[in-house]
Amino acid sequence: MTLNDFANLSVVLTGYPLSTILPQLDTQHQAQEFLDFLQTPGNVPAGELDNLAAAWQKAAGSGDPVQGVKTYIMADATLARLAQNIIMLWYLGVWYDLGAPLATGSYPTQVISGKAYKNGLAWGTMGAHPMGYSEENFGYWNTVPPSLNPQPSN
Amino acid sequence: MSTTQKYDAIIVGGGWAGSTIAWKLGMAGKKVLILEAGIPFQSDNREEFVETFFMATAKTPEAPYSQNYNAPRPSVLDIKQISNPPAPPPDCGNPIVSIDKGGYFIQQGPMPFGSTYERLAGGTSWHWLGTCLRLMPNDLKLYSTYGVGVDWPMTYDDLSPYYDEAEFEIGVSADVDEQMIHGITFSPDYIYPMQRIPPSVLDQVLTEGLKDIVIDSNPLTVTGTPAGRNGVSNIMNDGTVYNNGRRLCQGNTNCTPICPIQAKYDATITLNKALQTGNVDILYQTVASNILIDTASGEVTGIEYKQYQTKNGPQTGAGTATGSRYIIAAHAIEAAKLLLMSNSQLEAGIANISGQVGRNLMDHPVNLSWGSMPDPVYPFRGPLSTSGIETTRDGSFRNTRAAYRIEIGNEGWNWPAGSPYTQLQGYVGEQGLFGQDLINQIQHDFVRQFRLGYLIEQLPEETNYIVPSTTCKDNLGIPRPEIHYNLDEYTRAGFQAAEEASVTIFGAVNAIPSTANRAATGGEFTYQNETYYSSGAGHVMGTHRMGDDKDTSVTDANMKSWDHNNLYIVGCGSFPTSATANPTLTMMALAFKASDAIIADLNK
Repeated sequence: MTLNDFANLSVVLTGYPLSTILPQLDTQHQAQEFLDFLQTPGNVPAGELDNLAAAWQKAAGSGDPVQGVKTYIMADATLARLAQNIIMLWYLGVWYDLGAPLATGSYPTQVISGKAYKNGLAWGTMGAHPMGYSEENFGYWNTVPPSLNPQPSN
Repeated sequence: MSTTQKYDAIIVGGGWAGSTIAWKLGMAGKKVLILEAGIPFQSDNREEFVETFFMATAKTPEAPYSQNYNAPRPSVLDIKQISNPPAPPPDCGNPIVSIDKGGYFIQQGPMPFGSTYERLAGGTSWHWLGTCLRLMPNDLKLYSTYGVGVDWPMTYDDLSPYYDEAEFEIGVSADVDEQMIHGITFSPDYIYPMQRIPPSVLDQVLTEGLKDIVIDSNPLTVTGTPAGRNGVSNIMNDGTVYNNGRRLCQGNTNCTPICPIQAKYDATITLNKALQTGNVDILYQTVASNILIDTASGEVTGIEYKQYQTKNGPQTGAGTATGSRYIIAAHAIEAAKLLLMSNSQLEAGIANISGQVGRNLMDHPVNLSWGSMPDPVYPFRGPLSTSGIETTRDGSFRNTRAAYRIEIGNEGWNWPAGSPYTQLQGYVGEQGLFGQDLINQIQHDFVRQFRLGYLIEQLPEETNYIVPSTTCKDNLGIPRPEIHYNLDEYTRAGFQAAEEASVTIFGAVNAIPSTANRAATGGEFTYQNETYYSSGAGHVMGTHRMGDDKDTSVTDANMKSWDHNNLYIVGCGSFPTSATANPTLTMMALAFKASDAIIADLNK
């Protein structure tokens, strides 16, 4: 899977724009770190990432990538499970056992890196920051966050 | 080896109480040696601990601090329901495997003891929340006021000046007027070092929503919680602007397990000041293992210790530390364990003619209550807790049931339900959400999450106790703590009252209680046909209590052993009753009180 393909798939999976996932001025190289992790032998069963890349090509070429992901990825149990793990990478920086369902109360098998934890999208989505990593100023909690990022579409 | 220098005082434990006493004695020109069981603190510790926390798959209070098998500590991950009869600890002959598999404690039940601590320089202050509440006057005379528990061998007024001293050393942010609840008073013109920490959005919603609610004749007034974290400085009475040189709180929402920027006080600050007096030495990775006495006079003559180089390596040294005074400041469970396992000369152990050492183990069993607000309150922002309800901590109901305080949590369902991890697993794994649908769900649900923690009073009971295990040892061959623990009717009735209050509170603010699985904490019990769930507060008290009577207490009001004229035992284990305030501030105030007594004693 190419970096661009992984980034574009991640945009659909996370709901975040490409400017967040793969910014032009990329100081974090977060997408690259996740792709490197997925491509490290042993982390994803052989062939699955290629299958995901192929399914994404079909989804992207379908004209409606969101519907395409539903049709070509989420309808396939194996690809859907891998896609879920990619969402959890982006949202919390954590990896789960692909061999088990992603269920409420599971423990991650690992945190990808301190950087991945700090870049977790879950926190900013709710107007917060990763626990233990605030870049805010004293007293910010006294008022509501200026906006949630990104804004809900409905 | 043995220490050759003549020390005025040997202190076991470089945590909160030990650091405070070392500093006071060092400033008074006394020569002090601290025996610290755990690893040293260094300037890059915090960064390393924070990174370890980021990388931990379970973000527990212990997560930043890796297990040290030569000075092990308990973990909340090991707290589980206890079978009847209790299952034997796994692999007891192999300490490292045994501690990894079953945890450090030997839990004998019937309920699990739910609280944990740290063993390294600075002690459990590394992961304290920062709450600095004073006790209320009635908390120190529970027996004479309500006919339950025991009285403290001192009054609130005796303790008050030491609170002043502790609040200054910690650097507490609070508002005097707001703290005068149920008879709490302050010295004339008293001023906290810093202004109260601003309330969170949730605090403001609850303040407004509960302003007309009364429970057991007490209005549910929300007040700022005095905090050992840096806020806006006050101008002190001498005209100086308070400045402790540390940063303002950035609201990392991570006080427990670690403040990444040390905006919150921890005991390494006072320990460092102690070492800088030039009168205080410290031996790290040095675990006290036996207290020696002169059987004729009863005086302590030395403390034997074992040393190691690595957290899972073998013992590498041993020795005996000698001084003219001895101070055990090793944490309520470890101190009692050390006293009891030092039984080579006295069968019942050191300082234990009363038979009370290790008994009266108390916590503030926590009733967690969580749900969703009708409108966003934006959790996961600010310190973990900025306000609470303290009015519920005293009243005539205390003759029949435990009081509680209500801590308002700013971290959503993180404590009770592993948020945000748990819910995201459900959205993504079970509901199949992705993209904008996932964002919408997060933005609807997470911003409404809130939780309350009811810290419930526990009475001293002889049947709640810790003894050194006769079968299970740590990697140095030192016994692990065996714990016998239960909640009595008084505390259980407190849970019932707390749950009733919760229904009232949720109703008043139109909140929806969560139906998440509450059994995960391991402390469930039934009371009058209802099931309740108890979590540990980390407030370990009572195991070497003070008192006026040597037959029923371990030390006097200066924390001097009734049995050994040159031995002091300090820390939260000194508390005769638990009351409901997070104990740290009182523990430090008592450490200042003991310091004055020890210095006077040495100057005799």
